[in-house]
Amino acid sequence: MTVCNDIKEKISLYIEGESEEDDRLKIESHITECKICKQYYNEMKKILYELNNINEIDIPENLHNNIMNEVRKINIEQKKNKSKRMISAAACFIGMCVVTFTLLDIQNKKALKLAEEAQNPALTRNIEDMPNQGYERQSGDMPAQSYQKQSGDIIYENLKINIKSQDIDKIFEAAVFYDPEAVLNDDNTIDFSILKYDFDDFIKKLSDIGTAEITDKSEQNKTDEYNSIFDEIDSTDKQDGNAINSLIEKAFNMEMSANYYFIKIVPENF
Amino acid sequence: MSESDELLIKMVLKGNTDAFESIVYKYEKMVYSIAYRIFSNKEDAADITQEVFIKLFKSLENISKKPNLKSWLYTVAYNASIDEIRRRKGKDTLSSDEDIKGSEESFINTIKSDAPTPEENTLNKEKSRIIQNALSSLNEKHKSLIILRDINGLSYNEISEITNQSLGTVKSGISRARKNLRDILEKNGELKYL
Repeated sequence: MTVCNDIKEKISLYIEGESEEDDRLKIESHITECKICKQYYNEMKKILYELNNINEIDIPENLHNNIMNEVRKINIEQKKNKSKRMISAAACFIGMCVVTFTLLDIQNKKALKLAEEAQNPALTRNIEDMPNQGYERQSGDMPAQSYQKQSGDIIYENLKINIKSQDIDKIFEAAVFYDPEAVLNDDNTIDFSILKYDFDDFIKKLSDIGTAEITDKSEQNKTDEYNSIFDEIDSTDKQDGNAINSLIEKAFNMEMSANYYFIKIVPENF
Repeated sequence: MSESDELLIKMVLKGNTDAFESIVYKYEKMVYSIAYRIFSNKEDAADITQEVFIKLFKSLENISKKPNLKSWLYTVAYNASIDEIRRRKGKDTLSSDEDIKGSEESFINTIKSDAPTPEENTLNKEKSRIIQNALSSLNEKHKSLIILRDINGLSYNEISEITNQSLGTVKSGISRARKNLRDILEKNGELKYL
């Protein structure tokens, strides 16, 4: 590499004060003697100046909104997934509790029987009769029987809410906040359920988005359907734990649903 | 990480989407500028900017442990742009918003005609356009180095972290990139207009 080429290679670092001491001395001495490199030095100074002062770029008008819309969609998805995970975890936990209580109940019954037998030798059985042959349940053994039937009526309440707003994303985001399973329909209406306890908060949120109004309210009294589940429990074989538990779960879900409003939101101006 | 960035990230992690919007407001121009300088194309720059902020939103929990959000954004914007250019290489799908030849001629004609002395800002705009056009002729590696160092003003150490190269490699790379830029300007006959 010729001296001039070497100088040209390093001259921009020299201009911004980033060259090594040896290079700096070499460049300073060279450009006082070499006109071509002196000119090169001046050109590079101008280029660096223009680069440092290049016009700022304006961002496109809709870019910010596009980014935030995407982020909100992802946020809703993440909340949905999180809730699903929590519901699964809760379901597993409840399932484990049911199994544990059932086993404890069986153990307690066994212990009681053995204690009874110990006190009353007439009841003592041979070792072959012992429970590892299969514990025979009797009426009253099922832990589910401790489940209390609700005394009041089971009423499902449906609300229709009209809202004057075109911001469907925000309305849907508000619904998903309370119900991860909220559904945004093709006609932009939204179906979801919300705890009656949270309803006032939800309405406040809606009022930030647009003018909301309850335009329809209807009730479905499901008390008979609910009571029929308990009739079914009474008539089911008490040894069929799965059937009993599934009926109890059904009754429990019906009770829980009575604590919710089922809502259809209809955004106007669509 | 700056205290305000740290606080904003914590707020987002607690579910406050508005705090994320503040982060976007703060850095969107910076990210967009890098992408625009690399692509010379508004649409591609907007796509990359969106990609960077979505990645940020999805990785906030990990990023909250990093020392510098700004540096992270530079790195992701740089890598996303370079990856995209490499992905398209050979497909001939890179397009520039500016008609380079047309803009050169119009500028040269303006100067040659020596019409009423142009306003200073108009002249600056023309100079910026000349530089941007020359930049778009550089290879992506040299272009990115000049954007990070000379336009965005990052230190050599920061660039070394972002590009994952040694300090010496970064310095010599930037020197060579500037030399190439000067050669392009000379070849286009535009050095005299700076």
